Amino acid sequence: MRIVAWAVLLLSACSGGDDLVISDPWVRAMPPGSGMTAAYFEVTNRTGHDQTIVAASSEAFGLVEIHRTITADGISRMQQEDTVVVGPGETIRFEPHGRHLMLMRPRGTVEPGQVIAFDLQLDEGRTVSFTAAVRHPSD
Amino acid sequence: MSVPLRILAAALALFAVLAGAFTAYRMQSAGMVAPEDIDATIFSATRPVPQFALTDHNDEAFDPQRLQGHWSLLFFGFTQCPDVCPTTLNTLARSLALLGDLPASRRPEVVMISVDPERDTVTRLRDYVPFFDPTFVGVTGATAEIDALTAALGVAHQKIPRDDGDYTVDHTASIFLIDPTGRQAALFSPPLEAADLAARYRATISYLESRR
Repeated sequence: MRIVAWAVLLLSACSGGDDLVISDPWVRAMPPGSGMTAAYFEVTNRTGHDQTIVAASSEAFGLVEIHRTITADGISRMQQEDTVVVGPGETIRFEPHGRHLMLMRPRGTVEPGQVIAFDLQLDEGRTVSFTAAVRHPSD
Repeated sequence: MSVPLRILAAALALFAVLAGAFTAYRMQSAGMVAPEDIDATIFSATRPVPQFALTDHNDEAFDPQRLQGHWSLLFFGFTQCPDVCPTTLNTLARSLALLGDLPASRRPEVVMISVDPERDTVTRLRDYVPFFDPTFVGVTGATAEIDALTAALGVAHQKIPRDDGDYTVDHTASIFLIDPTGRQAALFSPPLEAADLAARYRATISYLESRR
């Protein structure tokens, strides 16, 4: 039990410590025939000042960008976001039909059961790392 | 306004309210749904779908004949789409599962028509579409045919170049309901959620069937 508790503590340390916390991360399994997919999660800022995400990356993809789907008048558009500012105490959701990490140029398959590591770069030069399990969208 | 006129106006207003309530009660007891209570754009007169000649993901011809004899839900998307298309196709798969109790004649066939025919070959659609549900049909074809169909249905789609030379496509995210005579019957606009979409579909086809 104690070992599990330490493991949980270590894992949460990997998820960015106590200041910028990533929760519920997941990656949509890449449908065959598509060369891209998306990652979703929630990010909570537990510090007393703004935290600004300026980029995201993953060894598993040649290119990762922060995008937001905007649907207006029935038409969906994607808008790239250069920065995402998470205010003190704020939680920002990366979710289907909303903000997401657009994952392009996969270096391998992206199938259920895999776990993919991501880095979020902050404007102050720090990196927040987290891992996300790949899920079939129907799971 | 004089007093008798006011009484007359009040009486008329009361009559209108009672008549409305009575009609609503009769429709409800007959299992009918008022179109204004359905979260869908129901076309007042069904509109024919224009002629088109496309190809499905099994390399079979896909033309207006393929829309005959069953309800269809048409979604316009593309395979190189990271968020909206896979999310919507998954919503459609979940909705379809929730409609499993309907007889086959009332269950919809789900069709994704590509708005990126340049990249979406038959082979690519054969890989992509069944990932979401083995019964889904993927459709592609000549750009001119896709453009004519989307223009006739009022589906917007526009190629957006990216800085890296690639491109993405902005497109209508609504779902089109085609009736068993192959005519446009209704439109389901986003936001689309599986249980809600299944309920909207049931209410819409019940209303349209009662109108026939």
